Amino acid sequence: MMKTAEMLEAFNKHRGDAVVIPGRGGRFWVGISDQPDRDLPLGDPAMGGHASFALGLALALPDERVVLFDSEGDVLMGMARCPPSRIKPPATCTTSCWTTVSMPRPVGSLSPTPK
Amino acid sequence: MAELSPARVLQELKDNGVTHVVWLPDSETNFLYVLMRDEPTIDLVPVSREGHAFSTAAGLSAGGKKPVILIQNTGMMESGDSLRGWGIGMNIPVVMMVGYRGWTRHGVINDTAAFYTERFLHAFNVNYYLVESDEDADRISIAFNEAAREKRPVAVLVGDEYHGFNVSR
Repeated sequence: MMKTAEMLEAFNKHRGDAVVIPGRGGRFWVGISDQPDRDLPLGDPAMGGHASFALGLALALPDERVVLFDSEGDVLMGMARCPPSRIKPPATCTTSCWTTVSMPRPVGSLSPTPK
Repeated sequence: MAELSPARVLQELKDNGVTHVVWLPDSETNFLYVLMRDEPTIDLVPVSREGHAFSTAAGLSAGGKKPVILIQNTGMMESGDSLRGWGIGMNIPVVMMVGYRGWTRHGVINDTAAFYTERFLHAFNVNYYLVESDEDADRISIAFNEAAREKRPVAVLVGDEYHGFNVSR
């Protein structure tokens, strides 16, 4: 089973200059990231809002690549965020999630992952 | 009684440099929606439930934009934890314009949505301004100034929801 920190370390090699919202993995990410000025370790403001926060940030910074790591419950609570939106999320906004018991698994993207 | 015109509300938003309106579509604010849709300086960001409005606004604010939240009092109360965590907790200087469903001027309130609205705001220590007509509309700017100064959400209670917003003009 892959640990959260291992997954974040693997991601970090491909991060580029993305703005990263590490979600509940923030406590690991702060020790992994080599670009802390481009990190937004929010902690836990309120469950279910991280995806919306990331979307808002991506809308505000359309030229930046924004990556969110979300957790299961947050994703479920935020799942309804996308369908009613008439707005088109920037192509640079990507969200992924991991579970607490298994391999990290992408459950979807707000839009296609940029090439 | 004088009414609150959507055009006046939109002008207040423009005067205060609003870049995004985060809102949950509803019939009462439809005419304001039509005006906002045609306003090139403001982007509309619809949400599926009001709790997402606060986190979306927080993201916009963190990215340097100036959002306003447009929801109804019922949705505001449903969003208590998001208001706490994403608004107050993150020091987001955002104005939430809240449709005051059930509001009456004579004090006889038969709608629990109205009964609990100000009590809810008191519980969260969120300051608010009541706007019932165009004569009150400058309170919207007061709310924006206060939100920026205090770095926290401030509410504008729209007490004319069932009049001006429904009138075609």
